[in-house]
Amino acid sequence: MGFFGQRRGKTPYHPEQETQFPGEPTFENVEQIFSGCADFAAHTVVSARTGERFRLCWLDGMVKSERLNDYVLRPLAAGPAPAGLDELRQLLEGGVWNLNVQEQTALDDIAEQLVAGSVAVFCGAGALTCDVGTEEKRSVQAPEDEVAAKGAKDSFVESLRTNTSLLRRHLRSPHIQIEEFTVGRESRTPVDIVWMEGLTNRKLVEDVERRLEQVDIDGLLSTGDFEEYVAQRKGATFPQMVFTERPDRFCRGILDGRVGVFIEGIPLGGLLPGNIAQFLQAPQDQMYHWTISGALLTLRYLCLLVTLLLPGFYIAVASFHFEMIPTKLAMSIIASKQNVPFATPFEVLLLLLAFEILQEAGLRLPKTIGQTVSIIGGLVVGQAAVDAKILSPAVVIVVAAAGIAGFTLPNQDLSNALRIWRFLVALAASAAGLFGVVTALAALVCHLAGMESFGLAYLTPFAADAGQQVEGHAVFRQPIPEVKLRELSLRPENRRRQK
Amino acid sequence: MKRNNLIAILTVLCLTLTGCSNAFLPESRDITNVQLMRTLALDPGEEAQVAVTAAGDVQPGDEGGEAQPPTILSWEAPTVFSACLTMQTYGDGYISYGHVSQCLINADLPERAGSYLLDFIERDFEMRMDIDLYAVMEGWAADLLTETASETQSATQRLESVARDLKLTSQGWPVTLRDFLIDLADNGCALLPVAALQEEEGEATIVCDHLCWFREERLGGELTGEQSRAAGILLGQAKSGAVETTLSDGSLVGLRLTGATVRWQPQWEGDTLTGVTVQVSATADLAELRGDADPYEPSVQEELNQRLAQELERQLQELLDLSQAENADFLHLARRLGVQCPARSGVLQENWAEWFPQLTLTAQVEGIVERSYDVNRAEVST
Repeated sequence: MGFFGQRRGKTPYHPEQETQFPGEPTFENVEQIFSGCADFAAHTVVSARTGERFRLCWLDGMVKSERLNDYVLRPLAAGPAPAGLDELRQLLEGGVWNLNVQEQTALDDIAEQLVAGSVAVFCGAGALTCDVGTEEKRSVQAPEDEVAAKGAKDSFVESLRTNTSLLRRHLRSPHIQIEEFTVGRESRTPVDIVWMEGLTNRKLVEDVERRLEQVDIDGLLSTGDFEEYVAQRKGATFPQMVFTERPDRFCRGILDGRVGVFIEGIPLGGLLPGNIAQFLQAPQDQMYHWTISGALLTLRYLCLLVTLLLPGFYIAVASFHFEMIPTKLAMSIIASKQNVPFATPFEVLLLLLAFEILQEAGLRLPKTIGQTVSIIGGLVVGQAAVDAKILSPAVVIVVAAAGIAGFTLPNQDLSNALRIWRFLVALAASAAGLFGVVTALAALVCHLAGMESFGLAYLTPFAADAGQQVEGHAVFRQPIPEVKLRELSLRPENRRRQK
Repeated sequence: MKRNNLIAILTVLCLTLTGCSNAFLPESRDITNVQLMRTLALDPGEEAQVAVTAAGDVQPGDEGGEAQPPTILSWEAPTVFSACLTMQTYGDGYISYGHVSQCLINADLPERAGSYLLDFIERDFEMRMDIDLYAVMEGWAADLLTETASETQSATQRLESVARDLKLTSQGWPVTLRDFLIDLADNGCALLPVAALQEEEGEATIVCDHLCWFREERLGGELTGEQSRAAGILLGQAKSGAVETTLSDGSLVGLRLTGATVRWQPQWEGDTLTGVTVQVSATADLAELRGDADPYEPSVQEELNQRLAQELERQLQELLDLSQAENADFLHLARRLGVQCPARSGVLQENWAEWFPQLTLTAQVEGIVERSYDVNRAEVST
């Protein structure tokens, strides 16, 4: 084993098999594929009128019994019977009361349809699949993470089709385009990309399509699987794709000219491309008056700087440049550090680490116990550490202020990236004071400036492509009636937003 | 790739263990090991040396424990710098002069000795140009630091309090090193507040109730309290202050100065300046009245205005006469007139030394007692 995991050897060949299950599409072959599967069920129906035998099979739990009974079994057993060898054709044309009836000629397709919740009907030498899948899913509920007092109270769920219906209810435009891909060799996860015809840049759509087609993994089960394959630059700590649980925010992204992504099983909608300004915008920004939204957005940018720089800045001024500190404050810090055995850098790094541990512990535990851990860790242990002269109150205030400032950021991925960089800035400050802080900040700016998402500079609108002006999307947003045009950086086919 | 990154990181970390980092990284001085000095005092030492005394502030006790008296260090050396450097060895930690906010200069320092300190402060990377300067006319400047130091008070705290109070009495104002150097560079004259030690109920304290003036970094003379306030009015520093006068019926009146606007009126004969009239419009409130005079009587109000004008006019004229008699333009008239008449600024600078002793300097004051309160009638007179 190496430091980063298993020692790297020669990567084995991983060919994709065109045909997984060779053979004729017969009941026996399907039974062979699912032999040993406890949820595989089969049934034989004899037509009351013709005496024809129909063999049916499905996967229990994936189909809805009532649908199977009412829309497939009953018409087969008692309905107008198909006669002769052409019964398959008759079944397709109304012999079973089902909207989604497909004739299958390959064993692979039958297996795939069974897993998707269809029932397979074998009649003579032919086979059909009828969609009788269960629709057991979570109902549409109010968003939990992106709460907005004046906003809509619906949020995306795990069902992809429900999510597209939510999109269509919010955005009733026939120009909405939804294209479906299947990603994952084993998971066979449906992924929909959404855009608006005549508005979204066609090249952007093609780029997303191309990257999606290139994804070749065994299972697409989380946002990370998708993001790291499609949107993320390798080595980038900052998120490059906005995920939202709010349909209204998702729709606004589509209207801006972005491409939306839905993944089956993930109750979030993704928006591409992403830039840093996107991650600092909260759902309520468009709901409040523009002055209030602007003030809150400015506050968030300020908090970004505080959470990133405050611990490092404190280390720098307390360890290298104490002349910078106002005299009264310097005397107060000196008084608070009396008898504390640790040097300031070690003290800050220790507390930052403790803060991260506390945060991680709070996340892993159930909510009620998590709160208890926060209280014990934050208040009791923190106070005890100060009383025992292990930490100085000033450091506790600095680290807590940085942590709280980080919680104001609306995007957790951005917040996590800043947590990493906060440590780097603090380490640089420990080595070289303000020089180190500035060096780390320069490295961060270089890192961000080197990133782009589907051709969009990550630092847009602060460093838009070729210095192009981005209208109405700077830190202090303009009144909505004033924002006549869509962001130029997204290169929409129709820039005009309103009259 | 990952292995290469790891090797690179470890190499950089190992480099820091070699000690080479001191060559290109700044040296760390943790605030934990720092003793902040807040006030410096400069006295003449033996054999042309300079005695430098540095005092810290009261150190608060640990969690309600007893406070520690301020640290006071002193050393004599040929230069202020070497004295300060030597004192480094006497402190518990690194002695930092970066937070010095006041400096006391003994007026008995030999010629240009004061400039050593100013030069040191100017050049030192830690010290600040907004240090308040005070002159000490009697005794030793160091005594002001040592005598006032206790577990509850330090010279620093007292001087900070003095600086705030100066603005109330208008008998002086805090002068920073920056202001002092600007004034000296202008015409060689500058004003400084005078700090003195005073015993009050057995406790030593620092008071400051007048100004002195320097010429070419040497003490030129002292101003009285009234002259100091007059200087404050003329230089726009006096925002308040008390003026006491007696009315014709013998009533004693206390007036609270609330504002003054100053206009300099030069008199030219051709290209020659012959005189300067300073026109002051002073406003005041009636703060106290002892006697039978009714402040609501128009005649009394008129007399109040006249008394205020007369009193201030006398003080201003005394100051102008003193400045002229000493041939010391510590009010920086030339600079003010030059700003007022930019076209003649050059002529003024060239001929000021010749013109100044012969100028007719006149003070004209218009006094306005704006309002008073009659608690018996519960109404405001305006």
